[in-house]
Order: sequence, then structure tokens, then C-alpha cells
Amino acid sequence: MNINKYPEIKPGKKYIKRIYIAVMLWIVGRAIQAACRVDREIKKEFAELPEHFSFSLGVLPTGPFMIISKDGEGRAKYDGWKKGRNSLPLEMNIKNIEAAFKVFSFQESTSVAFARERFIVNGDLGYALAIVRVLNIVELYLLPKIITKLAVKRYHKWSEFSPVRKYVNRVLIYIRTFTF
Amino acid sequence: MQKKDFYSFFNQSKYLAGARALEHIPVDLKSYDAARPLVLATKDVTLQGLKKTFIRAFYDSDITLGGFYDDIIDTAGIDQIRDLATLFHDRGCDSIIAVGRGAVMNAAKGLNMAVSTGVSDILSLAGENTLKHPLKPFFTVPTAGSCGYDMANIAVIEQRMFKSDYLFPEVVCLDPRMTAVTDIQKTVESAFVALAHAMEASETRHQNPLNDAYSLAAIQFIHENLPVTLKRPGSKHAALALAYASAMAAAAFSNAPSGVVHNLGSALSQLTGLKPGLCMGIILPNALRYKIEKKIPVRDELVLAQAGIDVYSQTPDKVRAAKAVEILGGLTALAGKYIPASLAGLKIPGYILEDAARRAESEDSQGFTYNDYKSILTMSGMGLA
Repeated sequence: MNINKYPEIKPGKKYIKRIYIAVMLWIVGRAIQAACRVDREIKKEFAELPEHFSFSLGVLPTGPFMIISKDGEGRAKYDGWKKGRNSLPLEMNIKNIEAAFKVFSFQESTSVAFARERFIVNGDLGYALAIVRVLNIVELYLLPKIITKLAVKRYHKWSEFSPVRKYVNRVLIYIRTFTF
Repeated sequence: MQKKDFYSFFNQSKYLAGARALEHIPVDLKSYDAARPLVLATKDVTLQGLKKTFIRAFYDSDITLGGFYDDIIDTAGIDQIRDLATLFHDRGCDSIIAVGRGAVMNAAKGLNMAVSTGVSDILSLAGENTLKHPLKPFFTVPTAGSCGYDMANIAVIEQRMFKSDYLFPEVVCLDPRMTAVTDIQKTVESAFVALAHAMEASETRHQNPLNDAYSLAAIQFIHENLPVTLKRPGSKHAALALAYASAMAAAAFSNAPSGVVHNLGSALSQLTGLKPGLCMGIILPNALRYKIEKKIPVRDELVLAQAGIDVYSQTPDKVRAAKAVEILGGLTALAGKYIPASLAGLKIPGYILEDAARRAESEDSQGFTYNDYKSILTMSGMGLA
């Protein structure tokens, strides 16, 4: 048998999807930082997390990632997209770029993606759920209702999330996300 | 449901099923500490463009494919397996992925035995439970028409049967992009192999709740989705459901002794070169009818799985077995274009039929005799004296 007929194959890369996900993670990361300063519910979630807590959300095996840590004042801080060598207290990794694209293009909600085992969580599951709640609220602020409904398990009712709070905070979060 | 004092059930495979299931393979390979699989496939996988789909699923992963060997034809041969073992070692591979159906799965299992045990002649491992240690990680990606054997704990190489729990694939990946129907004849045949295996696994004296869960679900899936596939072969949803059914039937079949339809269908297939699915599809309703005539118990739950709770509850206890045959007859009639109603038209010589009955009897573990097998063949339209 001529083994050269069957060469080894080094799979390529899906650049466009990687760039899209990197941009989405950057926006969400910055938005979490901004929302933690604006929304009381997110502030409370972060306050309940341990000191020096940090987490990453990204795509296996090589990223992109989004690193968020808790600063000295108990608020969320976006730490960029590069993961260091040390493992973080909580690492939420999506198994592959296609699964990540489904989540970040809102074809699949975070909870459905969890249920379909598209995520691997290293760390305390309680903290992971707190972060999922934070992500849900951030999506509520960042996206229009028609898209948010696809991304979250249940869209908040008016009584739970007043429109005034939503629209005022949305403007503040957008300003803080895209300004330095 | 009957309670059992003791039973055992083993199914090693993890199933990745549904949308984008292929893309999960790299992570699962890593979980077995494997990073360099050798991929085996049949030529039609490449011709249908599935090779490209498969390779694209590995994009952005840290897995390197040691090679994509797509020259497997109809049967798994020992010389080819030796060549593959050379390729496997030369490329420093650590795992095997089989893409396709039938021969490629047998070749992959043979290759795995060769590279994992180190024996020079794998035919010396033929038989039941001859493997003593786990083999290298083995993943399968069945395509449309993949029958129950592919995902089961058996391999057939050079007409010899290998059966061991170590032959179960570690991961079975059922992705709608791969299971879409391309050859309706093969799809129907494989559905009937799965149906025969599931029905026989569910009705044996060795039935148990776990086997029931797999076998009855497989029967239900086939009865619900085969008519859809026959009507609309392009339905990816129905094709995937049939692939699920094959996977479930394989798990049930691996945990039950082989039944009359399997024994007779395999024997006829080996002796005549006809496809096993074709033989089993013709024999299955007749074997069931024969059992009813001989007052061999046929399970009520078959009707429940075949037609649902309404038909089951409307059918009196005593006629449920006959109803199961009637429903099965309806399904075979629907597939009549691909599976003939009787073997009569296939013009098989009488001595081959007698050989088939004899060979089936030698494989039998449930007390069926040569005369029983002969009678079933007669009912199937063989006209044996």
C-alpha cells in the first residue's frame, strides 16, 4: 500500500466565526463590567462571590476567551481575552467553535446549550449558575426583546423588570461598554 | 412487565447525537487521551462529499488526523487490515474513527484488534470473548443505511465472527449531515435488520427492563419513521431517527442471544450473497407467524411499540400477537418495492435453503430445531419439501 496516498490532515481554522465570537465575547465582557456598576441585581450576584474570584468563558481548545475578575471593591472587571497558564476558580468552556457560534448567534440559549452538553464547567457549579444569571441579565440589556427571547430561558415580565430600569440602564451600559 | 431475579446488561458506547454532533468528537477524543486518529471510510463517503463535512468538523481543534483511508470496499479483508495496521503505526496514530457502514466498521474493529493486541494473525481471535484487554479508543460515525452490526459488539472479518464487549465503539456519533439518506434500498434493508434485532431482543426469554428500553424504543422509531423515509427519502429528521433506532437495536442485540430471524437471515445471506436486511425483512413476519402457530409466547408490548397506546389498549389481550404480525405486515407491504414479500422469486436452490436451515440451527441457543427453521423458510415462500 502506498501510504502517501493517505496524507495526514491538519484541520484548518474557521476565521470568520472566530472573529465574530471574539467580538461578541469582548462586548459581553465589557458589558458585564459596565452592568455591575449600573444594575443592582448583577452587583448583588458579584458581591456574593468570593474575594479574588475570577472566571473565564471561551471556546476550546485555543479560545477566544473572556476573562472577568472581581476587583477589590467587589465589582466585575473585564481582564481581556488571553488566559494565563494558571487555572481560574471557574472556567466555562464551550466544546467547539460551532457550538459557540450557535450560542453567540442566539440559535441556542445558554441553558439549552448547557442541557445539550456543549459546555464544560471546571469549578463550583453554584458560581457557574450565578454567572449564567448575570449573562441572562446582560443579554436583556444588550439585545432587543425579539433576540433576547431566543437567548434566555425565560424573558422577564414587566413586574419583574420595569421598562424604566431596562431602558435607562441599557443606555448607561452601552455608554460604559463602548467608552473607556 | 416481568420482573427478573437476575440479568446483566452492558453497553459501553457514548452517543453523540443530533445537530453538530460531529464537532463534539475532538473533545471526546481528548477525554480518551487521544489526539491522532486514523480515519477509515468507504469510497462513497468521499463521493457523497461527506469527507469534507467530516474534516470540517475538526477545524479549530487540536486534533491531527493521521490519515483518511477511504478505499474500503465491500468486505473487510485480512490483508487490508494488515496494511492499515502499517499505516496506523507509521503515522503514530492512537485511535480509530470509522465513517460509513458495514465493511468499514468491520475493518476498523479488525484494525483495532490488530494494533491493540499486537497479534500477527487476528483470525486467531475469532469467536466469543477472546479479547482479554480493552482496545484503543474507537469512534464510529455511521452514515445512512448503517445497520445494527456496526454499533454492536461484533465484527465479521473473512466470514468469521468476532464477539467481545471490547468491540463496542467508545463513541457513536449520529449527525444528521451524515445520516441523510443517499441510497433508499440500503436504508430500508438496514431498518429491517435493526427491526429484526430489536424484536428478537425484546421477545427472548432473556428479556430485561434495560433491554426492553432499547429494543422497544427501536421498534417504535422504525415503525414511526420508516414510512416517512419511504415517502420522503430526503427527510433528514426521519433518517436520523432510523439511525437512532439502529443504534438502540444494536445495544439490545448485543445483550441478547441471537434469535431465529438473525440466525436464518445471516445464514441465507452468507450462502447466497443476498443482503442480510433483505433476508431478514422477508423472514421476520413469517417467523413471528410461525411462533404464534406453535404457541410460542409473543410479547404484547410489541403492539404498544409498533402502533402506540391507542391501538394497544383497543386490542384484546389474546389477539395482540396477531395484531403485531398484522402491523408488521403493513410495514413490509409499504416497503414492498425494496423488500419482496416472499423469497420465492429469488430462485434460491433447495440445497442452499437446507444448508441455511442447518447453519441457523448450529447457531441457535433457544431450542429451535432444523425442522423449525425449515418450516419458517417454507412459510417465507421457499417451498421446501
